[in-house]
Amino acid sequence: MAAVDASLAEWLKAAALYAPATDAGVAAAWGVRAIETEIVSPFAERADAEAEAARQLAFLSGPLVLDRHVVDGQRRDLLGRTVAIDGDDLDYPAGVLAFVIRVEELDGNLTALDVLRRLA
Amino acid sequence: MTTEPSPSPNNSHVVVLVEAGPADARTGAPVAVRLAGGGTRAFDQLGHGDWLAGVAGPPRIVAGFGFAAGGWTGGAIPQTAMVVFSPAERDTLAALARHYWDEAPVRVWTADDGATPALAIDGTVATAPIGPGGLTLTIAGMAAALSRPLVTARFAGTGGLEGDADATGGDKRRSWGRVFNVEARLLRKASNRYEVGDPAFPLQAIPAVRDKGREGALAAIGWQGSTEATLAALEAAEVPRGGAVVAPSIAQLRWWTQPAGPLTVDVLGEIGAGYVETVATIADRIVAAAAGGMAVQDLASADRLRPGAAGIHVTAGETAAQALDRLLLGASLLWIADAAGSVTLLPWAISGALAAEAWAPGAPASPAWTSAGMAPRAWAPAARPERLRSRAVERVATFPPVRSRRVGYRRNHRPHSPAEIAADILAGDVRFPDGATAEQLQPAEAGAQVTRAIAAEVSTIAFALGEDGQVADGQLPRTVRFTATAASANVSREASWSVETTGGIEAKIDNAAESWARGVVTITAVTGPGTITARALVDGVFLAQAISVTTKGALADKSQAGTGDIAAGAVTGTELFSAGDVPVTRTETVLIETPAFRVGDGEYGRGIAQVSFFQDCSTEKDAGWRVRVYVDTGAGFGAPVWDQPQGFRTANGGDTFWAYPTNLPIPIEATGPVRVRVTAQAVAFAGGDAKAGATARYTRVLVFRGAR
Repeated sequence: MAAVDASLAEWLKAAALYAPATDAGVAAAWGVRAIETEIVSPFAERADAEAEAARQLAFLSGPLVLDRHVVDGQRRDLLGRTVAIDGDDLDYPAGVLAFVIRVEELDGNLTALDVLRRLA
Repeated sequence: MTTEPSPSPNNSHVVVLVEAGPADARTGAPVAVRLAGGGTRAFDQLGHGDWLAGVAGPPRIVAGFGFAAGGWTGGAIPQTAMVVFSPAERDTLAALARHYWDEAPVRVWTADDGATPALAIDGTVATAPIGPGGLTLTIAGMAAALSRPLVTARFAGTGGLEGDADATGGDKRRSWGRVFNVEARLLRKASNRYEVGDPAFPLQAIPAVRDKGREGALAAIGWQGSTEATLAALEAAEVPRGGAVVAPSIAQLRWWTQPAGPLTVDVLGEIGAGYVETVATIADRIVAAAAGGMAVQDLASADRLRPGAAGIHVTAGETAAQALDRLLLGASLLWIADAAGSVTLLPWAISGALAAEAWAPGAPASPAWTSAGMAPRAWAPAARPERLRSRAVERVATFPPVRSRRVGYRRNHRPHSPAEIAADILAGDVRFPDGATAEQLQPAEAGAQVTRAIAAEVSTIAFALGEDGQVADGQLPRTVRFTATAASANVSREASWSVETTGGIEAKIDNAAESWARGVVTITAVTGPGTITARALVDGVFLAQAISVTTKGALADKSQAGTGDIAAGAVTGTELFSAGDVPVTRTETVLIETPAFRVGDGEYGRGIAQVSFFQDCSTEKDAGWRVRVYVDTGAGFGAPVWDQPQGFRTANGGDTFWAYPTNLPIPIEATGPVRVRVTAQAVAFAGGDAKAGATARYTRVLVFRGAR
């Protein structure tokens, strides 16, 4: 009798197999206010999914905020990049790192940037 | 969010040229329209002298990605650009308003005044509203090609590679990289041929085929020089018992029989210019499949971002952009399509992670603008974060902290319901608190006995019919008790019961809660011979036991109808034939073949052959006996008169021993000599089989002559 992989039936019933990553610091600090999320990756192997989970959690653990800045120039090239922003408002001391998720070129040679930054 | 465009006097030294092809409203034919703006000289660029002045400024870009509390949401907002045309003459605008602009091809060049124009956008018109400010063209860039469905081909149902008529309209799916548990779809019923993708795109391999989750043995047919020859070889191939023959070069396979459940396959996807299975290389193939000439920029570097093996399976309805989102977002990558037709992959990462993951900047595509003041850079990745000064800022949203992230892998493209999974695989899935599986707890030694069973107090019940063919008075109702046991204990009260009958029998079973009569069958009507099968669900296992009902009529053969007297020499009484033990194997084996006998004569030539034997068998997992009864009424043994392909079957998922009597009433109508042949054959199910030593014992054929 061929050995049957005990997880085979589990997988056959599910959308995928899952590799979790947990941020103990966030869990301790925020408790139930912190959320659990998931996504199905294209990866085939558990090791790749584990590395991916750690990578995604590093980005998402946050808390994150979405800020909209106006900067000089027509800067569509900043989409999808990390930028270091200096500003006078909303607690932007020198060089706060933020990730640009939307660009909109404006009149007057300006660009509106939607950025994600960590609150802490 | 959109911004109302307006003329931008700051950029007057930049020349903008727009060449569009809206359709003539009457004929639908494209009309060449050339618009220009900026600079200080007459427009004569690109060999044309018919440029209409009035373009207010260079195209402005809006692009972005969706993000919500759970992370990136997909639905990357396609890059769009807006160009405003605001001519001095109202008639010029009126002329443009006569055209049909949607989906019109449009190209935009920009240049410093006097310099050679450079192509900035090559796309199509998404919207073209006309307001007080003039005509505003919203242009979808190269990404527009990615917003069309990736899979459009369908099976024609014209035979061969295109399948039976029933397969007409099935989408020709595409797979890249490692793809798991994709449902195979029937193409040709007669040969159990299935497709798993578009036969025009050879697959690297089909490494696994499963029926109800259980893998079968595989044989593979290589490329035979043409799709037709490969198909012919596939059709001619001998399919291994319990398995499949696969032909990955035409994305088709044949299963050895009609599958019991969903037939699914694992796939190593399309070969194309060479098999690929990393995220970036697959993205490159998707982009190329959607729009010829498009490619992932600096593929080698992008490939190093996520080197793990991956895959994607695309069905009809999904656009290339959606497929890219599904492929990349799960790997925390984003994609940006630019005007030059190249797609850039970037990691979702803030800061340090970016520095570690950044690659050397590739050579940027030709800059869209050469003016230093405008100078939007090409989509070249930056090695370190650029420092920016914020002129204004507002807080738009706050996202909750995330304490855990689960990342799925090995996506299952055909989730199964429990009923669609073979019993033994499910058994392996049942886990007790200590981690043991149900399968592990099942007896492992050969011939181990199951401990659950149903027994009936009698195996056969005979009813006497009167002259009128009805059961004579006083015999109905009649009860028969069935008893369910588990580990020798009577569990009839705990079991859930049902009853089925065949032939001319009506019966019901007591399944009332807490009733001591649970499992008792009450026979309420009998008009002829048949069987009664009681079923019980015991500890999650379905068990069944059948008994026979026979009817013994007044002797049929009468020389003088109506007198009730039996004529001298009438064919009456019983006759018994018996045989010794016969081993039962996977080939059909004769248990008994009687010599010729008579069941009656004259116009009442009918009787019943009561076939009985004792099944003595041990199995490895699911197995059964197929029993067939043949009757030769003078023309030889033809098709069996009684045949159950599923046979007498055990289906408890583990090793089983069974030994129980079998009774089959076989009505026979013949005036001449007849012969009866009984055969048995061990039948395997779902990987199980009867073990050596299976034996039919005490086989008898008892003939009730003249019975009805």
